[in-house]
Amino acid sequence: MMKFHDDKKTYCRKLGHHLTFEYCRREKQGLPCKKIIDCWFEKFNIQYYLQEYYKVDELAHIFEAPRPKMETLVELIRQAQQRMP
Amino acid sequence: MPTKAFLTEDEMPRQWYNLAVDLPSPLQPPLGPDGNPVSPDMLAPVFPMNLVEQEMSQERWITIPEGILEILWRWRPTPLHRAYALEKAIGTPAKIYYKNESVSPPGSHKPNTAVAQAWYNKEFGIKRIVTETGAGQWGSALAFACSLLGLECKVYMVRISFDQKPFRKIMMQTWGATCIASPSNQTQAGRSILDQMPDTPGSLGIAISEAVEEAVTDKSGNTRYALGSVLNHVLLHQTIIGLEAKKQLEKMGEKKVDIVIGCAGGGSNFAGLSFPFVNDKINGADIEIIPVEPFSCPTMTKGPFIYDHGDTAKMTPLLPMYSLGHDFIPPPIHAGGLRYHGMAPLVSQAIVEGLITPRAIHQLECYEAAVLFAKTEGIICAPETSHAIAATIQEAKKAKEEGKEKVILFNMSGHGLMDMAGYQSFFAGQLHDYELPEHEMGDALKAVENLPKPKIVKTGKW
Repeated sequence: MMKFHDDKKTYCRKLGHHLTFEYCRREKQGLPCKKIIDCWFEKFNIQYYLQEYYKVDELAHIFEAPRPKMETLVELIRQAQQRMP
Repeated sequence: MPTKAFLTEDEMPRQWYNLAVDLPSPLQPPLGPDGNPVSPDMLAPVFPMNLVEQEMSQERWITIPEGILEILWRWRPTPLHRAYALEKAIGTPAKIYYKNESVSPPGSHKPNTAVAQAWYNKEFGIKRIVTETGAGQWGSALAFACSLLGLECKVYMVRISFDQKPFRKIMMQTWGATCIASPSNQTQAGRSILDQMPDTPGSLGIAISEAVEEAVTDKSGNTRYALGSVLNHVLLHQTIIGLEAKKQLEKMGEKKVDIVIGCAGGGSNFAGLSFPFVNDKINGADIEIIPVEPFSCPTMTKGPFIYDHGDTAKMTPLLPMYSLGHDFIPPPIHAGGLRYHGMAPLVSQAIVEGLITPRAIHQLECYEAAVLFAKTEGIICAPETSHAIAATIQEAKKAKEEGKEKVILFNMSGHGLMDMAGYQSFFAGQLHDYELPEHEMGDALKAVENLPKPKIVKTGKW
């Protein structure tokens, strides 16, 4: 049942083309994209879907506060520097 | 009556406009993960210092180097069209103008900043630029720019887009860029994801991680990263659109523009057209300035479930708590300015100030507008651009009802010849608008009515 909506399509504002729901529910390293409610609330009961298939801590991770672009960039730079051999 | 206004190359603006200087409520300095302001040296591993300086510049006008002008002249100044046929079809007394950014070789406004960024990188001694892309609009623009400047370009394209959108990938290759699917095995970030999820379709987040890692870990120091939207210097480079449009409107005999419209994703094409007019508005002009987004996935407007209360440090779309279970508590709100996730801070603050007024439009109305535009003006627009056209038609119809000869200007930010799948779905009747039942919307609004509200920094003049 988790895959029931997988073939439904919508336009992805992040990527700039049409995608199926299957992508949206896996976008964040296997978990749903944080825009999943924004993009799907009109098409089916996405709130119910999320409640049904995801734990509270997963929801908290999915919808954790997005950070400003500059902050994200600085963090990515720091992470990359730490990965340097 | 002229249909188009051209500028000669000599008439093209020689400076970009920096709205950050004129915003009545200044932007807070960007903060790093530790909560302290981001310093230039923190960005040095990914951006050349000349672009870092632009990002933080407090100069109102920034001179466009001759080397950039010489490349922009290949397709700029872009024409300003008077949409006579569209006006006739609507039967409006309004005068509709559009700035045609689709004439750039990659087909959109994005090369305006791609060329500038590539040029500044080259000036700084950089040999190679890496970036990420989804469907490829930004990746192809940067590949084009690097090709003209003799720089290497590498684009991490989200795997699902890489598989489903092959043509822009080929465009990038044609311009000499290396385009690879992300996650890849060429970075630690990519390998780590592939180890965990070999069949992952990728994401922009992963692709950005890979591109940044490649820039940071190049020990030769010859590689940097480029971003196509959101940041201040990106918006700055796009202001040439609005600055040209102002000169062209004058050539068409217009003393004043009443309404300026652009579609808004990250904000760069909207900002490019509108910021010079925002400056006019700050200085007393009566202009309505409208960024437009899809109703189905709004960022700037308050959709039924979208409560973009946020701040400079931890912007968060607050979700109706009932809808995700009572145990789920949204992230905390911090005091500061309002930010819209994914939207350029300069655009966000202009919304907060009331200088611009966002609007959301349903997708069917957008495609109907796009088809009418194609049938009347002849250009098949990009799906994003259709939002600006739909809002323009709304305003033209309103002018008709009011019997007013308003001057409306919108940004034709790109053509849609690479994005016909949406049109195909529209003609097949596969696109639908959905209206949320009123009782559900009421419940959602009730669920958030007692949540703390963000502190909004604004002067209250608009």
